[in-house]
Amino acid sequence: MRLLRLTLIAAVCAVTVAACGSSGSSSSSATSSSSASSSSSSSSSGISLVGLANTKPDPSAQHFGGTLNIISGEGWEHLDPGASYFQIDYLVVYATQTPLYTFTPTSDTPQPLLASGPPAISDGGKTVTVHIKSGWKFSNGGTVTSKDVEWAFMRMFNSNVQNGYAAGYFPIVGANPAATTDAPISGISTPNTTTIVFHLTKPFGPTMADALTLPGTSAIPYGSTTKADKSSPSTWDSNPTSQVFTGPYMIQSYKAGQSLTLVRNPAWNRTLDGIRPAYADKIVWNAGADPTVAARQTLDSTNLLMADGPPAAVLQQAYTSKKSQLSVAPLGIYYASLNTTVPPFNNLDLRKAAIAAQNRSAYLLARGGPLVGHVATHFIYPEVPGFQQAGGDAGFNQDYISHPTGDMTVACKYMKLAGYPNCKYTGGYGQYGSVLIVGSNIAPGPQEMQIVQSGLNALGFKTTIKAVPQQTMYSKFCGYVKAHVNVCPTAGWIEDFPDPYAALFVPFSGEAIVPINNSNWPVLNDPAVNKAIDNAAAISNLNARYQAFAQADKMIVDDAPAIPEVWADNALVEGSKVKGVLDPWNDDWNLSFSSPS
Amino acid sequence: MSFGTELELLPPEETSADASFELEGGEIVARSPMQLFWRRFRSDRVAMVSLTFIVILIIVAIFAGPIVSLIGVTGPNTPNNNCPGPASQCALNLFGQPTGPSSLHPFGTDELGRDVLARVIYGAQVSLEVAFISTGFAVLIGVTLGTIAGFFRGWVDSLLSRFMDVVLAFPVLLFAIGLASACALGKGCLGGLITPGRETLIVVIALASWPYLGRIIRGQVLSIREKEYIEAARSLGASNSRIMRREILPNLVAPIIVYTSLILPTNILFEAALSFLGVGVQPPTASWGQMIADASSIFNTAWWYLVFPGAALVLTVLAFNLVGDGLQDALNPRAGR
Repeated sequence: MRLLRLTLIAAVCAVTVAACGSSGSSSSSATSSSSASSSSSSSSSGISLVGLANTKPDPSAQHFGGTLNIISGEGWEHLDPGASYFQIDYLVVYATQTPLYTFTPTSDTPQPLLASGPPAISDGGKTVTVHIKSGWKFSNGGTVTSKDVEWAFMRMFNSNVQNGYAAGYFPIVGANPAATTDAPISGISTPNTTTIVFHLTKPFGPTMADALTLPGTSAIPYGSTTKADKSSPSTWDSNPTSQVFTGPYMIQSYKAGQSLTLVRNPAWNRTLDGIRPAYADKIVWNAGADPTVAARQTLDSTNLLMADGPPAAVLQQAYTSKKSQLSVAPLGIYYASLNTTVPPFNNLDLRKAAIAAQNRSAYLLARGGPLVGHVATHFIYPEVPGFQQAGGDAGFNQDYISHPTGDMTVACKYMKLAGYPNCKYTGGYGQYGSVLIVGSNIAPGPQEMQIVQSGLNALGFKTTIKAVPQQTMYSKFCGYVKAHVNVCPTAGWIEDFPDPYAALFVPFSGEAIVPINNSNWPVLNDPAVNKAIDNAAAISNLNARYQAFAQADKMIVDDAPAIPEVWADNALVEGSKVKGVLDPWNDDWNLSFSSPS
Repeated sequence: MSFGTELELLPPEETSADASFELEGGEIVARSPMQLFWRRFRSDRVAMVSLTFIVILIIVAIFAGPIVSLIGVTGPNTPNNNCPGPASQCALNLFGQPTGPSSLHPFGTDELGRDVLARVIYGAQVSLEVAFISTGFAVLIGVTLGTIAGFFRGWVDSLLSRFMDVVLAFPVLLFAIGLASACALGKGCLGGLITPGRETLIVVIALASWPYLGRIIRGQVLSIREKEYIEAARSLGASNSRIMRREILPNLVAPIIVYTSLILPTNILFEAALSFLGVGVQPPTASWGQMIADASSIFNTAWWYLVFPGAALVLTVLAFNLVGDGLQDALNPRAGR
């Protein structure tokens, strides 16, 4: 899924990982027991989840009309459905656009939205056929056809659109991720106005079926973005009000980083949609607020929804005195990436030493403690199938990852293996002259950076901290490969859909590395890992598939490309009368299901 | 003669406490200006208390490490590593929020579980070091240029005075923020000469504060240069540099001391402000300004994190100001009469 815009707010899911899909709770016993594991660890730590807000839809109690008010600390990164890959952006994109399939607040299996039924997978998983509904209208009055869906895919492979997942999730014959135009793709055919057929380079059909829930599959009028997509980045993103919409809402006004207003899309047909009720007449979103102020304001209000998680201090206040306005749901994982391509962490033993020296318990506390997660030991997290196969909470028991508060003895062992007998680093650095740590400047980003810094300093590494706005962190540092940032400690990931492929491919496969908008922050490119992920993705038998991904997870942990910090839960706060409905797959509000009352 | 031991004959009303001579066993005892100064200063109780505070603060800053060990708290950059754990050892609660003052942490902890008392003590090091060094440079530059401007007058004075005006009008805070941002990465700017941290902070503060002293010194020199002994020295063939060094500068000692003591607290505040804005010393180094900045978002639940470094800053600045007032009164007893 997406990068979690986790950094926005302390305690919770603020991570800005690329959007990831579903909550992954459906299809395997592993998943459900994983979820149980997560909640039981909360209760054993003295935290009780009883009395929290009910964030499920309640049609009998929700009313149509009115204005839904949203507040957040961070603004939006990409509202172009072809580029959108952040958790917070998805709130808007899924309310204004219509992908082929979607998850809903009550279902974690893909439901046909623009599609008229489930995808047909044939040819051993190498052909996927989708039929779309007839009569769906664009906001400009045009009718949606299969050619418009094809255009959406052509855009995703235009590198100017800067899509972060197309190459990984849509291995379509003839697709060229290095294209700089909206070029036709030979592997996509549209035999009629309501049918689109995808021919794949490998038996990837079952995985791709889940990926058809991603926003990039939303229909865009064929040819309408040709001019905009010639620029790099595409200018279709810079003025969202000029887009064409297929969802229940459309963007009426937009000020980057500040405000956004959605109004009803008159061309949208509720009956044809069949899924999204769209209660509110208008949605007003103010961004750029101080997270602490925004959280307090939300708790004191009747009608506000806060799109980021609250800072730890307010989280405590919400838990102790306004529990009915607080919700917690499984989210994803936070980790501190270690750049594997530049010194000093291009050395495996130094990476293991860095992991061993880390106090991951302190990191969890900085995010808000056991209410919002528990210490991680590997990269498939509790709500993703395959978690139990990967060892569950204990993981694979590597010595450098076994001590949540850090173990300097183990760290020293790896320092010696790296050639530093005094357990202190005395070697060289890259272009920055020290280990450059870049993270979000919004709490708990600065705290997280200092916690990671503390562990590295203990091993003698010279460190420099740079706290920047979230968007800058992604666009100019951590997501920009040539920046060669050594450590990005506020990284996070949510799976795009409930499958371990979505949890591992984009963050850790070398095949997913892109020069800009990159989500493989460690820039890990281990051929063995790449192959293990690819092979696992081709397995259709679920148990065998999850076992194979668990093995890939172990290989990634053995490569030590990142410090797995916290398996996170997302806490959100809302006003006392507003009815906020959570999307478990996005771990944030669903604007089409939430209502002002 | 412009300086030296002298017998000071005071009007009758000033003979009781300020007399420069005393009758001891029937003999007149001379007092040096330094002795006179110290007598007057010592009689100002407020100034003496403030001076004592400053001396203690300097000692604490110099011996911060041993003092922190003696008190028995964890070091300033040591996050609490015992969490989650027994309440008596864990400095953070279940939500990662810092705990308040306790026997283990007399000033409480910050959001990383670091001891606030230790950070306040180490923060004194940063504040005093930056303030003293930057003030020293400011005095050096201000006195030099102010003396030159006041002595030579004419186009030299005009040029230097306008330069001081430009520097005074310069938006120093914005400049410091821009500098920190532009030079934050890699080897910094100008081949590594400028990087965020203590050294750059000292330079920025020194460059911002020297004009204050420069203008004052210029005014003093304009007055002193008209004295007869200056004319006498000139008529004896003394060079300009000799006159400035041997005749003018010694008479500037009093105002230099007084205004230095008044610029110091301003520079302490300046350092705190720059650290508050994130352009001072970098984490995890403790700095009062940075602590206040970090504390502002959690003040509602962690008042101690703002109060203790804030109180330290206020008391330090107040002490320096009071010492400055005391120096002013002691060096110029006729002022205000």
